[in-house]
Amino acid sequence: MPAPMIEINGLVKRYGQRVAVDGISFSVRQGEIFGLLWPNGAGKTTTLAMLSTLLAPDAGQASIGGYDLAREPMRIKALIGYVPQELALFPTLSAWDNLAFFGRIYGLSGAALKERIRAALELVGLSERARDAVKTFSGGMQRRLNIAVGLVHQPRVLFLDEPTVGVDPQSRNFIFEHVEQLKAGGMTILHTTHYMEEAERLCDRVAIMDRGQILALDSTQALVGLLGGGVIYAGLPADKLETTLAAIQALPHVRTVTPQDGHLKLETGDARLALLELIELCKSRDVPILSLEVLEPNLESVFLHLTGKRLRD
Amino acid sequence: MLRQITAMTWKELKINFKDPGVVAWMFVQPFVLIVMLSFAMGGSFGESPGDENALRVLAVNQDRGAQAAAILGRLDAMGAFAVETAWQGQPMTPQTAQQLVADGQRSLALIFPEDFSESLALARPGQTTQVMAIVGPELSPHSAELSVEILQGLIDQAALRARLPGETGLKATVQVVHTTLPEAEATPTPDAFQQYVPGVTIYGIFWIVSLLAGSVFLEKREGTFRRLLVAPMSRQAMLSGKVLPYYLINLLQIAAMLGLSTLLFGVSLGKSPAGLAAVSLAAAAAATGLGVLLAAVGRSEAQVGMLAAIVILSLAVLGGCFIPRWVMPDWLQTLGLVTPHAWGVDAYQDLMVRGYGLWQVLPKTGVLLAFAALFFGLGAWRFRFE
Repeated sequence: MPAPMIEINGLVKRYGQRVAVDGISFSVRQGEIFGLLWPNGAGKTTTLAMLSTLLAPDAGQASIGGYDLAREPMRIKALIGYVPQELALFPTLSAWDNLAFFGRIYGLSGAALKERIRAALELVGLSERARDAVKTFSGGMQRRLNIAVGLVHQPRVLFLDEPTVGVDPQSRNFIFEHVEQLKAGGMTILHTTHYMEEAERLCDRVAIMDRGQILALDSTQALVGLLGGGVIYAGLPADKLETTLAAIQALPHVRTVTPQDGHLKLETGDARLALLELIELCKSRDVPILSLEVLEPNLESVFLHLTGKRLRD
Repeated sequence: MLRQITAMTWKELKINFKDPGVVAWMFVQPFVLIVMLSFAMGGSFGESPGDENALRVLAVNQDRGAQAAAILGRLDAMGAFAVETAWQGQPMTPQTAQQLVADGQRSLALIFPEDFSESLALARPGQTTQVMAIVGPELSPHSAELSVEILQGLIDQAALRARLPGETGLKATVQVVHTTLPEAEATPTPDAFQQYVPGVTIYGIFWIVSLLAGSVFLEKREGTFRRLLVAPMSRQAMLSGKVLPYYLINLLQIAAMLGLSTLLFGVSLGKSPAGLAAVSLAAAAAATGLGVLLAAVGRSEAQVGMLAAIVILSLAVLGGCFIPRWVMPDWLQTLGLVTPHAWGVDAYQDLMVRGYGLWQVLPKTGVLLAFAALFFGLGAWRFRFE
């Protein structure tokens, strides 16, 4: 089995008393798209800053392409491409000039540089607008150029930080296709996103993080499988909880029932059927249902199930 | 590393020269100031380059009669002389005239005595009345002799007219006596162009502080700075790539200001191209160094913009860019030496006004380089890359 392209062991970063990244460990195989799902403030920026050599970790080790993060940062910098969440372009320069500048920074020149610029522009569908100033581009086009800048030097590892935030659906599909092309070309991609459908479509494996820690890490199918057929949160009157619990547990499509913050959390084999059974049971026993929430078996629900909060919180 | 610095330099130059606002502010604004101030304030300084055809003559007329005024009128009407009988709105006094010649602001002063008209009309044997001609060292001996001869001729002519027909043979008893001030006593002061060409050029190049610091904050805001930090590029290369283009813009500014002033207004840049190059390179280094320092200590684009305007204008005024330092009180002249502007303007004027060479301006060039090293050192030390 080939050595992982990215390997992280017990990475820690503290800001004073606050622990932003709390001993995370994971590895990413070459050619894999690895998704990082986390809510804001969960340590994403700090982790990406450490992996892109901008911040030194307080503890732990990491290597990219076999190079040690602490000892060989310049070698790692040459391997990686970075596509930041916010646009990072020179708006008064043309798309070509932006790509030429970053290409030269990575040591490209002459015919090789021109060839790379053309390829990057073609990849993101901006060849026709190569000589236009970036400030005249639509938001989606600027996003695509933002990605092209991260690719112009043909990195072996690409950090994609929320690449589709604020992008129209057409451009988003365009970006998805490009990322899939890059993966097909053997590029290793570390992809952070808030969008579940994006992670489900693109990522081979996903790590769910909160408060600087990894809560779950697996393929998207396996993570969704954690929820079985879905989860139901039901709010019942406090004096009825105990008497109804055993009956709910006995429902055919309910796997487990646990009281949680004044609610009952039902992990089901099939959320829709379990919901019908729950409603009929409560009606027959004259127990009012005060609140009801059904989590379909998808990554969004897994995230909520594991962290207790929504990704966009 | 060199390729990265070149790439950053080219990119910065492209961004700046695509912006008409930058070109207007860095090139048009200072040149317009040079032209406006030089013409507007020309009367307050010495001879301007456009007056070289007429020799400016200071005249102190103490004559109780009308003969001195008539002779001065005829002298002025000749076209070769421009007679000035007042200075800054006040009648010319012997002391003022002597001082102005000693300062090098004028090269010839005439002092007519109280009894001039009487002496012309009445020949008093054994008694000679003298018209004093004070000659500055920069007026050539030939020009001085010629001027005195012309004046003596006018006086003799006036004497002949003033006397009775029977007295025509008598020798004129009014003599022009001229004294040339020694070189050591003369401290040439600049004319309006010699003040404002170097003064406003130095003022103009320090606007690079605002441009450079603003560009650093803009790149940080737009995220491109972070992108560069992720690239395989040393921080020294990043800082060099950020500073070099602005240093080049400074040198272009200096070349444009001095070049256009020479071309359009005949301003002499002195006789030492090497001295001019040394002072220009050092002054530009001080200006870009201050830009790095401001980028390092500033906290935001808005703060840097405000701070730059205050610093640039204060230093320019204190350093004698607009008001010559020699008219300032002594304590303010001394205080001005804490600005690189004062050293820059003085060094340029040493070359342009006093005709110094490279070796004579090296000490002031050294001070400018020390300012550059101090600013850049502090800036690099405090610079926040993140």
